[in-house]
Amino acid sequence: MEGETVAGVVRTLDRRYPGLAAYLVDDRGALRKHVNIFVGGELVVDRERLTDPTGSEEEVFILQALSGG
Amino acid sequence: MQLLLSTRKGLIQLVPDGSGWRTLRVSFPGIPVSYAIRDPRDGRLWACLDHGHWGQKLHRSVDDGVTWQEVKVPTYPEGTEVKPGVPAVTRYVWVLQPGPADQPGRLYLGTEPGGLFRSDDGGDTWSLVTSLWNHPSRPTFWFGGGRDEAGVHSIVIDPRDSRKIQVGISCAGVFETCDEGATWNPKNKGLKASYLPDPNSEVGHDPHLLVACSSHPDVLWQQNHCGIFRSTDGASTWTDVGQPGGPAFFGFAIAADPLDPAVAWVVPAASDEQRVAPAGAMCVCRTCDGGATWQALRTGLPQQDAYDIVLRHALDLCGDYLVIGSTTGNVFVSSNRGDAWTGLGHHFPPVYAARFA
Repeated sequence: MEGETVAGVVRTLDRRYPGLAAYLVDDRGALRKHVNIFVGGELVVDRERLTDPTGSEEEVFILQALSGG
Repeated sequence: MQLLLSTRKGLIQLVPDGSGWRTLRVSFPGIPVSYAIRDPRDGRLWACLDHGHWGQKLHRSVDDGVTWQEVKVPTYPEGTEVKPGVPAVTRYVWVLQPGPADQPGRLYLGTEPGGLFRSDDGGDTWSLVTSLWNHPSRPTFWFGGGRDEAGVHSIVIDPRDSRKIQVGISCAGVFETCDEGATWNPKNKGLKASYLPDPNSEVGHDPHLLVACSSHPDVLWQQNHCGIFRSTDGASTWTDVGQPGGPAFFGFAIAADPLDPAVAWVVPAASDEQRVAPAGAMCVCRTCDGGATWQALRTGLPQQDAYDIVLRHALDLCGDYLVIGSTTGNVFVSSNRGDAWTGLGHHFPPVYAARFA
């Protein structure tokens, strides 16, 4: 997958599945409150601009929290 | 006739079935739907979704809810701030209002944190009505009520002149444009904001819902946080028509008769501190004399151990039919203007909006 940062991965995903990015990030591009992204098993640090680097071999794992009643 | 229930767990469409109603279909199961409405111009259904994790979404259907198409939800222009350092993002979609018949494709959308959006292409694209957003009162006299930031929840278009629009904002008050949104003026004279240092402030009011009598558009009603108010001069001045001591005083919803400017309905709640059915008994209050007197209508509604409240968009009127849906999952319909009510179900999810369609 193209993208040297998490933001790039999200952009690539959005091109492949139009509208997907709006589910993961808010109007400003910041990660939504209850969504977590792991790169190589580690939580991303920059939730605001998603500048965490992604290696070409690393797994990017997107986790949605489920909560509420 | 059809009934759209926007609930915490999806959009429920009900249709008449013999002497009762049955569920036609459920769309968006499990997802909170803040508002849904049918556009009378083209029959499209619109649903505003409030995902817990994925943000606000907007969907439309051209086949009565069999299939839905997601439409990009409006976003605030880059750099727009609620206040210095706080970016404006679409936090909640309060209401979608189809435009008038002479403006096909025109739609309005009311949001938190206080932005009114407009579309002229049937919802494909949206733009913020910056003239209202940039009103000089917003930074200092608009604030959250119930939710964190101010919300545009009522959009009333004058049937005589599509350029004239009144919006209800909580908390800010009523604002009016007579030039299709180029300029806006507050219309809150006569309202009382008892929670403010100056109860007669020009802005800072909490009109829980603003409605108009469509055949007499200069007659407007609002169920306000601080009572029930009526205007007979196009919102230029407001008169307190609530019952001191209740039950017709505090509440969220109000419906105006489209033909008789003296008739309206409200669903009272006990005080702004409690927000439950007054004395554990649900009632709908109706006035037939412009708010001078109110009659409590209780037949068919629970009269003990009731904690129901009916939110601002969860009362609607269609001919002689009325519907109310409560946060306790009770839905009642009246076929005789509120004289008697029949329960459609008591195990619905919390109801955010109920609309005949």
